[in-house]
Amino acid sequence: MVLERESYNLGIVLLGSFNPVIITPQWLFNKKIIRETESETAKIELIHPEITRFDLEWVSVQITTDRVEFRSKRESDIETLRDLVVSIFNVLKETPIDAFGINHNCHFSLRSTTEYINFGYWLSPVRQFDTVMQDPRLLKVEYVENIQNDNSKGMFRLTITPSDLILDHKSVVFSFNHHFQNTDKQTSSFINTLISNWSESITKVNSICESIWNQAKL
Amino acid sequence: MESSKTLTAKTGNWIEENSLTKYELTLNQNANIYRKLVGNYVNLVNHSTLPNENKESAKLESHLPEFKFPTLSNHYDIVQKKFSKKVQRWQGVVTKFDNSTFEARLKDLTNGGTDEIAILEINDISPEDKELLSVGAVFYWSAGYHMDNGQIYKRSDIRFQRLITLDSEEFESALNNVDILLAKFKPRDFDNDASLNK
Repeated sequence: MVLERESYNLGIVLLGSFNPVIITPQWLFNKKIIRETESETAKIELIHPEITRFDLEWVSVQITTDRVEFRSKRESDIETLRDLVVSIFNVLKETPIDAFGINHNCHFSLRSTTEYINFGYWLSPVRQFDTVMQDPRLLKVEYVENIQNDNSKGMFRLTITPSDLILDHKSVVFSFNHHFQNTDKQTSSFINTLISNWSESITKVNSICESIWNQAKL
Repeated sequence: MESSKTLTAKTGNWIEENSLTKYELTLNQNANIYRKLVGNYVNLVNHSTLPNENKESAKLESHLPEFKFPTLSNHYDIVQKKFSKKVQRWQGVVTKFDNSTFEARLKDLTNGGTDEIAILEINDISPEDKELLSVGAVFYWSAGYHMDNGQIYKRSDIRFQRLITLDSEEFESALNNVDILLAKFKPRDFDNDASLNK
């Protein structure tokens, strides 16, 4: 049985050395990366040399001196998010970037609470703790790929937890972190890796989700 | 959240967990940044040129600005419950247009498959994107359901691509590299090439 995904959104996180006061809504508009009305209606929470945070209608941005996070609010804007990140770092092409991750969140709703509980039992042998814990349930499980030498395709980490978006006590979220090391710290390398792995990252996420639901015993 | 380590099968060594690209800052980390901001401000006041009597008598707290630190949520808009669901996405390239419609070749980003041709309304384009309308312009079209504060509604968006790639210097450099590589290819005389006549 393959469950239909209820919600999907995506974020890009970069690690490196950044100046939080540069990337602001006005700066993005001046560089023609976003619309003028988006810069005018942006919800700016803080712009400071240590941290900047603002929301556009379709993306949340948070920047500290060593970390930048872009998070789409809607599935419809994930390609626009990619273009935003590529454009920013094509302008700021001297930024040293150590690593980046493409983070996917896929929310699924099971048909009943029984299926939800059985899914947890299938993921992990929780019931072997019946004798020492009271009605034990699975809260979180995490899987990581073991790829040591070939960084070109990145490395996936999958975390499965109850959904924090669909609060019906029978929904789960598959959180994927597709991590890449940017070994030469060059912005151009980061952009090339992001673009060349973008489609494959989304495809692999879909494949993993489909594989899990095909094999799960509910 | 504590980091975990995984034993590798090949070497028997523990591999390090990826740092930070998978989680956003925890609330503790956010709070530490704010404490540092406040600390920096207090240091500025202490080392300022305020007269000593002012520094001693004034309570420093009263000099701190009224500032409400924003709450950096670790989640999406959970309380407001805003998210999209069952979205179909296409990437389109404009092939022609007139005053009322534009034709585009669409690539299905959700399900793949063959490209499709569509005719869309110019009125569906946001005013600020209309200046980007031209033959060859790339846009994204999505259609689906959106949840907003408990209300589901249908939504269709067209958004033209705004992508900054190479600047003129980089473009010229790329062209120069092409010329350099091309110069390495020697012209071949196919009529007199003995290896071809064997």
